[in-house]
Amino acid sequence: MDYPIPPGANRLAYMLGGLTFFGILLLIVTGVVLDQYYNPTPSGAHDSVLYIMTRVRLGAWLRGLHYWAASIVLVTVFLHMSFVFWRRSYVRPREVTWWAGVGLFAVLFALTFTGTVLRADQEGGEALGHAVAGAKMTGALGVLLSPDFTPSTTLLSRLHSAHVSLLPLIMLALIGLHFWLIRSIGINSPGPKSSRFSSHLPKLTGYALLLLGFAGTLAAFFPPGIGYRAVGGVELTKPFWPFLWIYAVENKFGMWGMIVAPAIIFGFLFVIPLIDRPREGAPRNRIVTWAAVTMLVLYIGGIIYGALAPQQQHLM
Amino acid sequence: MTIARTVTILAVFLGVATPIVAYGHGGGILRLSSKQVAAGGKIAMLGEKMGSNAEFRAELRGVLQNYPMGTLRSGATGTFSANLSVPATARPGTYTLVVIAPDGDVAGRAEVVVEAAAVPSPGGMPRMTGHGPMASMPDMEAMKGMPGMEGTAEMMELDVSTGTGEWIVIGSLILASLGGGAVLLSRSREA
Repeated sequence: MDYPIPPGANRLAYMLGGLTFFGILLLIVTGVVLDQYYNPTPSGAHDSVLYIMTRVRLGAWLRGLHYWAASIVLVTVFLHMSFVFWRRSYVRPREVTWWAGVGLFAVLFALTFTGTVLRADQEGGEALGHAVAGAKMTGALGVLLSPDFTPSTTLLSRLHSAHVSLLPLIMLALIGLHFWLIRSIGINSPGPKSSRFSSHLPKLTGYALLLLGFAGTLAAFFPPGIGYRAVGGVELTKPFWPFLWIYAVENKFGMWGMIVAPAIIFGFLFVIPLIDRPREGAPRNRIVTWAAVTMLVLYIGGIIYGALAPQQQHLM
Repeated sequence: MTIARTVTILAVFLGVATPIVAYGHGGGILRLSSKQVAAGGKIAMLGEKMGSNAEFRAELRGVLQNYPMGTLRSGATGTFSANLSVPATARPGTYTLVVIAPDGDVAGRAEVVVEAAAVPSPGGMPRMTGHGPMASMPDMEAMKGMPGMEGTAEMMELDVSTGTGEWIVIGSLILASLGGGAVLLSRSREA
């Protein structure tokens, strides 16, 4: 833990990844507590969330902490990826570090999606309906998201299992790889390695505690609500804010947009190190730059549009 | 409760219905005629290995609300039987039917699923398999007109009032986090 790092790495911009990690730890701790009271069955899920909110001591606040921590983590990971991209920290020899990060980004989205479904309210039910519809469209690739995968358990129960075990395991493995590579290769920051990681940690912890206090305050004064029990066959809600851009794409291009748009974005993120392979001192590949800027604008614009657009039916 | 009625109910449970057996805390056994019942419907219950000649309280315990189901008296052999009425206002969901002994301990328990009261449709009972992945939701056509069954985007209004003790804990944690963070950052600057 006392290895040398450039002093520039002690700036906040270089701590966004670490803040994301602290946020993930907070999600794990609050998630473990919440899961003691959660009932992962279609008949009991919604009531168990209501029970957590109304009859468990500090339950509403813990749930709020989990909810706001999820939003904060998605923001910090987005900022972290943006900074890494701007610094071109994906070029050799850090390609695998970047790919592990893209994988983590995808896992975080999957965790956010499954977490929404677990609420089993109208929004959760519609999220699940979208996923099942998308799985049908992808044929064999979507078999795990099919309610008919097995008669021995329900899709909700399997998504709960994914949310509390499979996805966190994948995430922790990718985090381990990500950290090991950063430690092995070194951080991409200018200057001689005249500082130590042991000086990086207290500052990072300080920012993390501020973030915890912020999340706790949001949870206390802006607790997340819950809708009524899901009723199938209708589409009345909009998705959680990180997915509003997909909602916008569906509005414009139909259900296939729900599959194609994320595939384009994650595919682009994956191939960035393959496209932008500069010689030393050479500027970034312009295609990469413009594609990234375009996607960023579309992503943020999609979220804003999705929030403001009128309700539309996508599931037929 | 006559002996003949008790024997009849026992015969039904053993010979016809699939008994739902639950072994209670303390050795009492509760057998239910069905593990599913509609709100407002009835469910037959048979208790065995309860204390003899004692009065028990039956309660339907849900996640959000408990419903008293009346009192029962066991015979010399420690058995009792009853036809219990599930309140029509009981929300659909999974409940635990418990029988509470005179000393307050739970003498027996059994799980039961309360379903929404069925709405009669022209062809008879409505289909109970719904659309989409949230299986076992009632058929939408049959449920039209029932309050709350059309689906809504509205958020529930819940009583999530936080007690004084909870506010103290929450406030302390928030202040400790913010204070600790500020201290660490100021020390980092000094260093």
